[in-house]
Amino acid sequence: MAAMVQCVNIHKQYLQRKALSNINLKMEAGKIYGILGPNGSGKTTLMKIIADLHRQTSGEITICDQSPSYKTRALVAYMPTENFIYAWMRVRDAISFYDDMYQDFDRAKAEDLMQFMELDMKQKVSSLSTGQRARLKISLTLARRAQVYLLDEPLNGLDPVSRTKIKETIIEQFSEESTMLISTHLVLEIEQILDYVFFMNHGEIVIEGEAEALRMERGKSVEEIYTEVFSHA
Amino acid sequence: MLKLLKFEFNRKRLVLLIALAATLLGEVLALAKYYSIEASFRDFTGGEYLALLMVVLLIGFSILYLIDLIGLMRQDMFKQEGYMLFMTPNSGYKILGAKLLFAFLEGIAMVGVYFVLLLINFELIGPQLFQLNLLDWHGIQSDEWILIVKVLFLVVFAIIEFALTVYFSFAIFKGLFNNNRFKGLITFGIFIGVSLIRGKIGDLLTQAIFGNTVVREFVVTTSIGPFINFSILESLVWILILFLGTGYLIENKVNL
Amino acid sequence: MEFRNDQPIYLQIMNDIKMDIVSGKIAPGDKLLSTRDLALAIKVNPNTIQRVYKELEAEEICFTKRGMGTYVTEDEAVIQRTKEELADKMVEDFVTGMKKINYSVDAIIRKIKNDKEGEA
Repeated sequence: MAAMVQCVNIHKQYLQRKALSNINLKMEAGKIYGILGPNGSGKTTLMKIIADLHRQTSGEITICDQSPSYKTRALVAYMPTENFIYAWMRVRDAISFYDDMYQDFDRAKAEDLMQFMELDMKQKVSSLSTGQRARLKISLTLARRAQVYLLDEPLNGLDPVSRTKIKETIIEQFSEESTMLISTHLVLEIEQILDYVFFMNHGEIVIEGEAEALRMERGKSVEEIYTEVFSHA
Repeated sequence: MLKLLKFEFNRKRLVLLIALAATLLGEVLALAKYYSIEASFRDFTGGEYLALLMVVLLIGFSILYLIDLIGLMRQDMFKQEGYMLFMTPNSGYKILGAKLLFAFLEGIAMVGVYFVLLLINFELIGPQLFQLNLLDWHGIQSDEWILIVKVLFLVVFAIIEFALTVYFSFAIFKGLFNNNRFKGLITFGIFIGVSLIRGKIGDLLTQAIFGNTVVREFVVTTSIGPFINFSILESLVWILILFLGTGYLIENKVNL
Repeated sequence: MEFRNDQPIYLQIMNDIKMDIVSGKIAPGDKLLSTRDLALAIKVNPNTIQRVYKELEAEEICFTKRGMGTYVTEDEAVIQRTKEELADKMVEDFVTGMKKINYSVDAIIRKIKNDKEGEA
């Protein structure tokens, strides 16, 4: 199957430190991928490079056979881990912004999702709780009919209700024609929805494989493998 | 492009309204002060309040405008909310272009408001000044009006140019570093460097075109027209160069 | 749904479905949830459920009607066979556990007899 996202020998060097080295990664349609690793392991940098917000120092990336540029941003729905929705907006302003900027944005779907997530259109973003902001972010991102979804720490720091709602939305909205990459260090919460996992440490991919195959080979859950790999890292 | 402009406008809507309200309030207060002076004295001292207001407004507008323009980019490049803008499928040039176009429209609006206040105030105190032979208000020629407008626009362009120099420095910083504890200091250093280089080139150009006597000549002849024209042109050229440079960096080099 | 750690998730889900069929919770000929609905209900990747249904089909426990969904077999022999397999597996697990605490097979049988007679 043709890869929707392909990274070959990606290196990223900032002036003062090395962020990624020798990253090879392939994402196919219909699959959900996880990048697992502690904070600072390079997960976010890699996502930003795929999202065309950072530029690799060397190596090749293709997204649906194109090099990253502002054009591929139309294909990629990236959800940063930060609170990136402008605080001055109301929920409906954020929806209008997405509607204005992305051709693949499905406004009706977004409105449904807002209802499911119990978000009020008139509410100001600055007055939303952490959980509500996370729900708004994921709803906006998944209301796009994108080719590639990149979700950076979607469950981090959230209450159980928000976590459940977000997981349900991911499962429900994910389409066979798209591919998805989820970064997290909360492995237990999310491993059941991952097809394939990359373990990242110090800017390198240290282990990778089909989640089920890893469980079978090692007789351990992905979370236990994670603990094993990173407890002495 | 329109959608980006709409976004920039929506973001500023409230601030712009407040600024307009504050300006009008200042005008009303100054007029109230003017008319509270007894009529016979008003001619001699009253004009000061309005003149003062116009000077304060010019300086105030310029400073606020500059701060506003720097914030226009700083907020998006250095704050996490900027992702929302930069991850849209718009090229760096387009995003920057929309910001500059918005800045220019904002500048026109400010010049407009300022000009209207200037007319109102001259109209009110002008006759007295005229009686005192201080200023022949209605005798100002049309080409002199054009000159006033040109000067106001030169101020707008100079501020946009300054802001673009700052944007360019931001972009260089963001191309070299991801995030850094000393980002303020480093960016300032880059800014100083860029400004020095730019100033040097500007000096050489001015010298090449007007020769060494440029400043003295203008003072002596008081023919400020060509100098303003040249300054506007120079400013526009710099705006274009800095726009292309910053747009390129945003599009190809920065780490957001 | 809670999963055990040492086994692939798809095997655990398959096992649960088999249990439901054998115990009669799901009747022969019943329609199973769609891939996505089951995925949502137990919050796992839809691809995992797809694999579950594919494997169940390979074991002839389920069959797919084109465009209609996945159904439980009506073949009693298959259900009986599945029941035996589940029983074998449970007995094996149980005996392995008992052997670990030094019960012989005879001792296990005696224990079951005594305990269950006491209950009755």
